[in-house]
Amino acid sequence: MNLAIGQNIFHGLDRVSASDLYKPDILYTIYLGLFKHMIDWIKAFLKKHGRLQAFNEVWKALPPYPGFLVPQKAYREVTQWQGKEIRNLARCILGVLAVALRQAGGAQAIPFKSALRCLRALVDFNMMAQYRSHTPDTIAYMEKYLDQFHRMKDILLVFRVTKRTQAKVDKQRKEIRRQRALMHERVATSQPRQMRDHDRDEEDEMYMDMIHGESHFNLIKMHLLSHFCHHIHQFSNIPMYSTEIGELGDKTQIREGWRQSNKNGAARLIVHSYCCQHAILIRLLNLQCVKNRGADISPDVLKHLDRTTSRVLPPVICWRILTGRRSDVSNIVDFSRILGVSLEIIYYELIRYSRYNLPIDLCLPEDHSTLQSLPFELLTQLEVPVLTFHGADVYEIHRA
Amino acid sequence: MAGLLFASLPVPPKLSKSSKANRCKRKINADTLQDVCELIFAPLSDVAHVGIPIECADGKVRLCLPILSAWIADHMENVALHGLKTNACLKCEGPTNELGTIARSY
Repeated sequence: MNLAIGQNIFHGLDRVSASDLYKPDILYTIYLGLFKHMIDWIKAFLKKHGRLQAFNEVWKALPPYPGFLVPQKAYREVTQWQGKEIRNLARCILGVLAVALRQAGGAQAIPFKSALRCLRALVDFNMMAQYRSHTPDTIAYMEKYLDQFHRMKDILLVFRVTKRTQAKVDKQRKEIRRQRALMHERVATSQPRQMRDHDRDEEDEMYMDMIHGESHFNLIKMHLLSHFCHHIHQFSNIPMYSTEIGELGDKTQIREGWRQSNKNGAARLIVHSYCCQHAILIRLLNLQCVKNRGADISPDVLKHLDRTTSRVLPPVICWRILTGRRSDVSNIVDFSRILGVSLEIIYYELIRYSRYNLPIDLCLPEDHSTLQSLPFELLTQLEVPVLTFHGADVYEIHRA
Repeated sequence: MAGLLFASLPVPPKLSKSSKANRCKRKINADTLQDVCELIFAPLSDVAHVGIPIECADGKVRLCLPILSAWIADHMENVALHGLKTNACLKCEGPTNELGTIARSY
């Protein structure tokens, strides 16, 4: 058994099964666990087959895409792989590797194919694990991908060689060569080249045997993947229990409290202040709810409530205003002032557009004073027809 | 998701395994963590056994048995809390030299 001496805190609790408390976690198991290893293995794989340069070139030439952060550095220059970087990498690594490994000739074709398949299975598994809802089909897919990953991962086993195994291999190789030298002294051969090839094959064989015997993928994170599918059966989707929530909560819950405290016995103060704030917020929400139902509340409470409701509501987030944009435009009058286009032209164009293009129930009013007060945001709807993927003349309308 | 801060757990400095004094300190640290958790779970243990009436969203009052249902932590934290070895699985009793193979159900 793999138990350390010590007790499990969860064992004293009623109706709690300690093994069910563990929730699989994408951030630590897949991103910071397997993908982090994968990065090293792929690097070694590319180096071995002389494709590192090609890979780096593709990596640097990645174009921007909504939701995807273009990598700033070359692949090998990235020293810190954190959650964000690895998430980005997981999105594009398969494509980049596929491009880097194309035009494989002869002996390279098979390892390239299995490396791609192995990586593909892992990326697919990761993608499926992020689903927010599952059907028996999707779970079956996940199992299939995991199975495929395990079957193909042997191609990367060469890169799991530890220093100790390498030393062992070197020692054995030296031993074989010594014996062979002794043998050659006795038997002089007429075909030295054939002999050498034969020796090299023998050495390679020995090396592979050694690696398969000594190296392994017995990482705990590799094993934890196998519980993912079962967990989904039992407790539904995985992102629900992500540790990222805790990491985000850290800021509001702890650092805020730490900043406001006097750093003297801070732990107690942090918990106390956060709990007080939380309790007051809940109380105010309750009062608001009671008030909305039309219950009888004393006037001083009402007065207090009115003063504080603005604080109960989530604060309005001021989004960053992009360069070249302005914040002082609220309606069409401002719009025309800034563009320097006369109001009449704008009215005319708007009415014309709404008459010809919009369905009747969505038509704009044709009265100038009503148009004038329309919020400016109504006019930012931009429609761009984009060719659908395989269709010849079929357009999808993308709205911005 | 709504979060409620319960307690901030003490995080002792990391110690090496080398000296005996350090080993002793590690033991004390581990025990402290266990005690703190016991303290946190103390109110839960009674309630989970006999139940507590809680107001439901539909206006009725129901008897609830609140239990601890998930503990979200990374692997090393889990190892410390469950009292396992670092390369042991938290969910099953599979042998450590088969971690990298396709899992059978244990």
